[in-house]
Amino acid sequence: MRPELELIEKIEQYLNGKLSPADNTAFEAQLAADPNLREQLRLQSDIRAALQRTVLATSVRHARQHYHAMRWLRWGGFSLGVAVVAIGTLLMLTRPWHSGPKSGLTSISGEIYTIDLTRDTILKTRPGALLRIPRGSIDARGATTIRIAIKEAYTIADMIRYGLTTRSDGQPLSSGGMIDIRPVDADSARIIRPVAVSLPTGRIEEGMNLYKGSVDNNGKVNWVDPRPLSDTTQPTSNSVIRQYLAEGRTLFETHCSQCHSVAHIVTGPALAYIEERRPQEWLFGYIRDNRKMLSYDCYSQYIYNAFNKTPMNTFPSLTDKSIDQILLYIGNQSQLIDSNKVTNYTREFDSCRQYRRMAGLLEKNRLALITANENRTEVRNNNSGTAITDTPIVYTSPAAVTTVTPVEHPSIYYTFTVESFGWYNVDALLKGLPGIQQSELRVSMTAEYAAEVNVFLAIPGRKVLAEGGFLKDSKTEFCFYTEDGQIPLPQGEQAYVFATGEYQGKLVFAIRGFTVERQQSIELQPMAMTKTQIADIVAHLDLNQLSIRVDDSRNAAKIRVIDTSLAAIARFKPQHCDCDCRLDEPRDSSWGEKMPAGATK
Amino acid sequence: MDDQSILQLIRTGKNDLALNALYRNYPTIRKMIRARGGTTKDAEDVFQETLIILLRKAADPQFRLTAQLTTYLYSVARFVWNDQLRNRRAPVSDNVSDLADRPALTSDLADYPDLAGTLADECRIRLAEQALGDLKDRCRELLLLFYQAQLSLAAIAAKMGYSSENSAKNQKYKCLESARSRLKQLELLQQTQTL
Repeated sequence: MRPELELIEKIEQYLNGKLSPADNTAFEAQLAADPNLREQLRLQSDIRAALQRTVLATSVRHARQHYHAMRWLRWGGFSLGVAVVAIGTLLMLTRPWHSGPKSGLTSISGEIYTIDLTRDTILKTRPGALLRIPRGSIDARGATTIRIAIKEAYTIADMIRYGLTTRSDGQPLSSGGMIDIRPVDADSARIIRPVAVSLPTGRIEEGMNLYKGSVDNNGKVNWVDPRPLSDTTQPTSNSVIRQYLAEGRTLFETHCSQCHSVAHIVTGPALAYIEERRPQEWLFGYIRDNRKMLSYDCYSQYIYNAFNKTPMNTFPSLTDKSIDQILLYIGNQSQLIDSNKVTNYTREFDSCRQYRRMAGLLEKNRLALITANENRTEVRNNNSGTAITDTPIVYTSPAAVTTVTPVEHPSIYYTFTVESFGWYNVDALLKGLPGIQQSELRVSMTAEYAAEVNVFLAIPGRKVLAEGGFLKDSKTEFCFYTEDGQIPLPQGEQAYVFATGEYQGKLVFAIRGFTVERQQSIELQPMAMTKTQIADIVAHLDLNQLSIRVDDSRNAAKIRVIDTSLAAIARFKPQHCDCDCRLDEPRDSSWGEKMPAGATK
Repeated sequence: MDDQSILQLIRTGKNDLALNALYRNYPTIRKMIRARGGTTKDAEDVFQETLIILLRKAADPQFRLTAQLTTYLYSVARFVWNDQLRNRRAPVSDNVSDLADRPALTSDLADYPDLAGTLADECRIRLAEQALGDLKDRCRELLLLFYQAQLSLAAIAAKMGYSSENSAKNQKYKCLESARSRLKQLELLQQTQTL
C-alpha cells in the first residue's frame, strides 16, 4: 500500500479503537504535535459521520413518504373510524393452528397479545399491522380470553431474523409484508371465521397477491395458493388507491412517457423521487406551464439548460386530481429504484447557486476596484501655447468631417503614462505648415486586440502626438484625425505608431516606425510583454523625449487576489450553470404566490 | 407510542418505526415554521434535519431526555430554523428590521446548551455528505456497505466483484482518501465565500 493509504488505515484503526495501547499513546502524541495529522483525522471522522447521516437521511425520507401517503388517505376521506393502516393487504401467512415442524418462524416468539373473545377486537400491533377480530371468529374451546403471538416481517432484516424467504414453488416473490398469527399455547384455538388483517406497505404493485405460507420439513416456507387481494374487509382504501394508481399510469403514459421515464433519462430527466426534490406547488406550476416559469424561476432555467435548451410540453388543462394521480404513480414506481442512483439535480443546482453567488460577489468587488482605478492611459503634456504662437495658423476643420474620438478603457492591472512635454497636438499644428500634406493613415490590428488597446501616432521631429480612434464603422482600423483616415502629415519624416493596453490580464504592446507617405496602412501586432521589455524597446527608439511608462494600477494587487479566487472556484463550477436568472435573490420561492412584477398570472 | 418506546426503537436500530411515530409531530413544527416566515418546503427541511439530529443523539447511550419528546423536537426545530434564518440573512443583513424580527436564541440555548455545537457539527457533516455524493457510485456503495451495512470485506469483495479481500480493503482506503480530499476542497470553497 502507498504510505498515504497506510496512514488512512492507521487513522481508521485509531477511530475504531483498534490500536494497541502502546500504539495508541504514540499516535496521540503524534496528533498533539502535528496539526496536519489532526486535520486529517477530523476529515476522516467527518466522512464517517456523513456515511451514517446518509443512511439516516434515507430513513427520514421514507418516513416522510409514509406520512404523506397516510395523510393522502385521510385527505381522500377514506378513513373508517379507525385509522386505516394498510395501503394494501399483501402477503399474509396463515396456516391451520397445530404444531408443525420447528421453523424459523416458531423459534422466536413474536409479540404477545391477549384478546377478549367476548367482544369485537381491533388490534394494532406495534410494527404496524391492523387486525380486526370479530367476536366469534376464534374458537378457543370455551375460554373467554386467548393469548396470541404475532410476528411480522416487512424489511429484509425482519426476514433474516425470522428465517423467512420469499419463494413460491421455486419462483422468487417480491414481498409487501408477511405476518404469522398463532396462539401462544399450540392447539388451544382455531380460527373459524375470517379475521381481517391489514399490513402497512410502502408500495403497491399490480398483480400483488395474497399467499399462504406452508412450512416444509426443513422449516422453509413455501408460499402457495395465491389469491387476489380482498378489498371486502377494507372496502375503500385499497380499491381507491389502486384505481388512482391505474389512472395515474394511464395519464403518465398518455402525457409523459414520450419524453420521461421514472428510472431513466429519456428526452427529459428521470422522474424517480421527483416529489422529494421539488415542492408540490412548484411541480404543479411546472407541469402546467414550464415555459412561463422559465421567465422567472432559476431552477426551471437550470433544468432547461441541462436538457438541451428544450422546454417541456405544457399541460394547462390537467386537473389537480390528474396531476396528483400522476405523482402518486411516479412515487409508487420510484420505490423500485435505489434513491442513491437517481441524479439529484437539486444538488447540482444548489452547487450552481452557491458558485454563482460567490462568483457574483467576487465580480462585484472586482468591478468596484476597477472603477476606482485611474484611467488606463493618461497623456500628459504641458503645451502652454508658446509653441503654437511661433507658427501662426488658423485652421478650422471642415464641418462635414468629424474627428475621431479615442476610446477610454478602464484600467484593470496596468496604467500607461505617455508623457510628452512640449509636444503638440495634431489638430492645432500640422495643417498649413511647410512640408505638410493631406495624407491618409490607417493602423490595423486584429479585432480582439483592437478592442483593448490605445493607439498613438508620434512624430518626434515635429513633437506631435495624436491618439487614435476607430475609423468610421470599423472595429479593427484606427485613424488619427478625421474619421475617414485623413490627416495632414509631414511627408518623408520619421514617425511611429504604437499600441498599449492589456489583453486577458497581460500587458500588450506594439510599436512600428515608418517614413510618412501620402497613403499608408500599417499593421500592428500587439504582443504580451513585461514592463522591462517595453521600457527597453522605448529606450532604443529616438522618440525625442516622449516617454511611455507602465505601472501597476492602483488596485492591481487586490484585483489579482480576486482573480485567483475566481479561478479557484471556477474549478467547482457545475455544468449547465450559465443562466441569466437572478440567483442573488434571497429565496427561491419565486414560483407560486410570489410572482415577480411583469410575470403574468 | 410513548417517548421511551420511541427512544428504545431508535436504540435498537428500528429507526423506520420510530420515525413513523415521530412524524406525528410534523404538523406542529410546520405551523411553527410557517409562523416564523418559512414555507412548507422549509418546514419539511427543518423537520427532517431535526429528526436526523434526534436520531444521532438518541443513538448515544449517554443521551437523556429531560423533557417530553415533542417539546424536545420543537426546541430543536426552532433552533435549526433560527440558524437557517441567520445564515440566509447574513449576506443581506443591512436591513435593521430583519434583525429586530429575529427571535431570541438565548431561551433555546438555556434549555439545550449543547445544541449550538451539534448544529455546527451537523453543518460540517452535511458538507462531508456532499463530498460523499460527489464520489463515484461504486466508491460510495463500497463505503456504505462497509460502514453502514457493516458487511465484512470478504462479503464486499464477493458482492462487488473485487478479486480479493485485500483489494477490497485497498479500494476502501482509496475511496476514503478521495472522499477526504473532496471534503477538503469543499471546505476551501466555502471559505472563499467569506472573502
